[in-house]
Amino acid sequence: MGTINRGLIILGVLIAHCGFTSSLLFANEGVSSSTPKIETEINAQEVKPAVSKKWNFNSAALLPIQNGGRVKPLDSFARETILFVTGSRTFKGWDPVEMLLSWIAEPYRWQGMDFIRIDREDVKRQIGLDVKSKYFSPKILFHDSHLGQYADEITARTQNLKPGEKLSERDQELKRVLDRLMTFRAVVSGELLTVLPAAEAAPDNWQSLLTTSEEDKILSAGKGYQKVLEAFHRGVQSDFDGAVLSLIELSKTWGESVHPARLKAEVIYSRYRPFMWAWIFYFVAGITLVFARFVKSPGNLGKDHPILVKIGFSSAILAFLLHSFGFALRCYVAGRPPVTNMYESIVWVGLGTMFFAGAIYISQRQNILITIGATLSALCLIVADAAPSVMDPGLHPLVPVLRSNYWLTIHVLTITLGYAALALTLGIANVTLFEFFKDRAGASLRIQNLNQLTYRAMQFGVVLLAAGTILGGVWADYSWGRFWGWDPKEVWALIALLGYVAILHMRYTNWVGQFGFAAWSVISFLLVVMAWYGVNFVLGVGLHSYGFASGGQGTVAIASVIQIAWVTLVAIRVRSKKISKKTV
Amino acid sequence: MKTSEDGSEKSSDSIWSKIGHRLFIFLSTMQLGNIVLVLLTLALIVATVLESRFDTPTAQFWVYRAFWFYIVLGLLGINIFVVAISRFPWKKHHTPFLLAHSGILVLLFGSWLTFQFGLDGSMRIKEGEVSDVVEVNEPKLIIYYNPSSNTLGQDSPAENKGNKSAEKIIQIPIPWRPPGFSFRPIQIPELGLTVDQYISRADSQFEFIEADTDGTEVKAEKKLPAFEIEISGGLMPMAQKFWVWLGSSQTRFVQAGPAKLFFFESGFKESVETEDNKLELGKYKDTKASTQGMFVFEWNRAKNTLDIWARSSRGEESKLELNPSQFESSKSIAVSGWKTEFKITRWIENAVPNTIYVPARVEYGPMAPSSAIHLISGKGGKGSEIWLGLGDRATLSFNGKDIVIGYQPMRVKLPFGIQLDKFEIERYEGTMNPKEYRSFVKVKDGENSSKESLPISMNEPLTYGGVTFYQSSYEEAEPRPVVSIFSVNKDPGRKWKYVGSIMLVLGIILLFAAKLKKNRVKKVGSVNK
Repeated sequence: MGTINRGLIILGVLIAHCGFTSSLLFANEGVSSSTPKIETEINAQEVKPAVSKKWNFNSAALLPIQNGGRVKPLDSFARETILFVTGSRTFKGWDPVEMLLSWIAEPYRWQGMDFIRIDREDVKRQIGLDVKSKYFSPKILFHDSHLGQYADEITARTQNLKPGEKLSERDQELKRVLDRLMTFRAVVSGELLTVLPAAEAAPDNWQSLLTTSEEDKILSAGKGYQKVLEAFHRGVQSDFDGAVLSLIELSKTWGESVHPARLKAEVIYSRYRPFMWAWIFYFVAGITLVFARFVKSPGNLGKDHPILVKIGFSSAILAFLLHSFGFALRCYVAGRPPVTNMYESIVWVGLGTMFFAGAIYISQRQNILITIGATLSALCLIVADAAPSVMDPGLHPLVPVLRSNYWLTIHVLTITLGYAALALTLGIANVTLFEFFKDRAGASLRIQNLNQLTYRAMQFGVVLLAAGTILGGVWADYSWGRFWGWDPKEVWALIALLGYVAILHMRYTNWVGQFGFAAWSVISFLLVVMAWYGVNFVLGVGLHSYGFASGGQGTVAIASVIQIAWVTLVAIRVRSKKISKKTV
Repeated sequence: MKTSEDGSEKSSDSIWSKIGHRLFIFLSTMQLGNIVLVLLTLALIVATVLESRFDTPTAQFWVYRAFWFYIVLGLLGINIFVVAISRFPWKKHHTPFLLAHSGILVLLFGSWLTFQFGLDGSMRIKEGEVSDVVEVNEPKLIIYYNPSSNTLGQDSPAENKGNKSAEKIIQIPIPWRPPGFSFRPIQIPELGLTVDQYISRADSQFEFIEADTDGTEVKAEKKLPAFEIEISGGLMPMAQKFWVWLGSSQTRFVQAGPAKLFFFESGFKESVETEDNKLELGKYKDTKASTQGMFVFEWNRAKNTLDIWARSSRGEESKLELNPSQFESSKSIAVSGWKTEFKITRWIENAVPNTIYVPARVEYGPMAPSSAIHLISGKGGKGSEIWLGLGDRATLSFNGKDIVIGYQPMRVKLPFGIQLDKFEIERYEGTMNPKEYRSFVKVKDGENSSKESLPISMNEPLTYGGVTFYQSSYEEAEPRPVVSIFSVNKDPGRKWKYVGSIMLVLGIILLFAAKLKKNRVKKVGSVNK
């Protein structure tokens, strides 16, 4: 309890003395514009994003902050912080930047606001909170809960963890709640806001608002911030914008790590969310094209409805452009091809799937390819968007072994592009299975046709998978000095490759017929899922440890079981049909 | 091919040629290929699950380095080879097929070369030091002895060039095996030694044993009294046992739970070695300043008695005089005014320290300790024994002769040395996360030594004399020096692997391109019809 209590006292003191900022810098400067009135106001009224209705924070979003090993726009920092503390992207309609500024400017009000998220009921019960509520105020957590009692214990338990050991789910949540509270505190105190340029002595480390440095560069930046916060507090937009713009102008002199164009690109990337729009349009394309199949086209029976097809195609093209634009933007912001974690690779695989669907369409002219491609790409982007806790969408610095490595980039791009082509085979083969299941008139011709498409996509997939796996060997040789070391990631890439090579050989020797080929194409993709997701999230051993994470195991397992069940169902149906035909 | 095959069958009707023919047919079938593919896939899946469930050595033992796995790989190679041969005489349209499949053969051959002749180890160098020793992760029992002389250079016989001519070295590889897997004893007849026990994951324990006066023995400097004491009561919930030995300051001054134990020999001034100990003992005896309880044991060699003086944390004192024969009879001795009871459970007058190994509590995973072996001398009769943990080395006196035995990872000496001049870490701005780390080294090779420091970083290896050094890791230390860890590699199969890879990928691409062309032709044909 000790640390939290002490912290609260400090916080209280700071609030009382500094008025709207708790920064020591400002206190040193003697600009404490403290208003005694505020104290009587504490918790009197709820803080609402009132000013924001007329304001926009587009320029304040561009203020640079050094955080997580790089200089990023305040917008990104605010988004990450708000997402972490409240568990939601835009908490009750607040613009993240505004909410962050409001925390700093009016901390006394936020003390009583319910915004710190707790998900697990057992944790709420453990620390004596209302089980039904989702959000809790710092005041309640500090004073009216037993959280403090567990703080030291959790910290000690975390420190005593052996490598490979994990806290229990409940302890993890407890720790997360503590971290949320501490994050809020560290933002309010200014400690986390490393927004002032570096001092001469330590050119790599930016200074936080708590700095005591007297260097001109830092002092002028501090004054700039003071003006911004004062204007925010007064609620005059023109003053606020003026203060922000002059501070941004000033920040351009802080050295190379402030890259205005990149900051701008990052703000665009996170404000306009191109991937979200892309999946919406992919989804529209998929749905429209499915409809186009069933709506009778006037005059030309048996063909897809031409207008719906046109709508579907243009929607798919628009989605693909948005998707590519978002990807390019992310490349530019990160300064590297973004395929270093699960989130980035799933976005890239979605792009690749649509690309291969389009490429094969150009030679084969079959609408079904676009339908499947758009649906799969939508699925990829939805999955990437839906689980930010499992697949972290944040831009993070790379571990040394992944940095500026030509072979790594080539290897990962190639192998994941292979996954994309194979995802397309999965999609087409599933449609083939659907045809088998329905067994309508003329099905066999359609099945033959679809299998031909599956085979075509598989050819791309196998070439890329083989090349990617080998390029992985080249990278390993280049970085670690051995071509092949039976590392689980390498081995699973090989297993997936062997799976597809086996199918191709069985097809060649007629070991499998039309149905077998489609069925095995679906099943083999589970090997890809294992190589791609399973090694990092399920096995969790080996040299590719920089990509290890957890979460989503249940979902992936259920999806795999559904796939297998579906294939089995169709297999049973196909077999019973054969038998009934024979007996008749 | 077919005609010649038929011809040969006619010319010799022997069963062997029939079997040979059948075998050839069987080996060339795609069925075999498919079976091998499925087998290989299943084996690999099992291996990765083993690695995840247990650890890397376990997966290597059961699959990657198992004999049957090499057979599966060999079968794959043979199948591909025979299939390629069976298509002879080759035509132009066979090119993609041959390219892809012989690519695999070349890859396999390259891997075999690496396996047979390659070097894959690691090297640790402290900043400012030179090293030429590469450690390879293959445990070996190494025995140095000299049949003609009674003594050996004790520290490092391998580097001791003085009487090297007569010195013999026996090296026995002892590959790791998982816990519970049977171990067949290894005999070393020249020396009458036997490795009779193996513990895959071993925890070390310290004990004292009676010094042997005849036959084989572990060479020990000192034979001094030791006793094991069991303390119960007081603040300790359970009885605990501690060894106390006169031989070194660490074992003479023992922290036993909340109490301190001091052991010294009366009138034998040298036994109190360091000034610190003297001071501490004096402080406890004289000033009673400490709140800790303490036992002081004074061994009187002439009288053969042990004077025990105890003081509780509250300052109560008590005294006792015993001789070793009383240790056994008195079940436990309660010191008056002292709630704690103690009992001397073992007494050895001529004791030497001994490390033994027991199966570890943690058997798998990165936290599991390394292996240990147990050696005995003499053929079944009374002899001496010794435990060696991986990395341990001991000198044995063996029928009056010294031998040095070590259980160590294989060490390969390079013909040149590497000197680490400097180690640098670059971090991401505002964090402690490393961005890049880099070593600056000089090659030390007589006249060819490099004059300037050469960099080795994560993606920037250094090759010298066919050996490549990669930056793999580091151990930070404050104050410096830092230890830089390199992986050291010599791979004669590298070129083959690259050539094989290119052939394979090119072959697959051409195969599919050929299929595409065939389909086009078909389509055009059907349209014309």
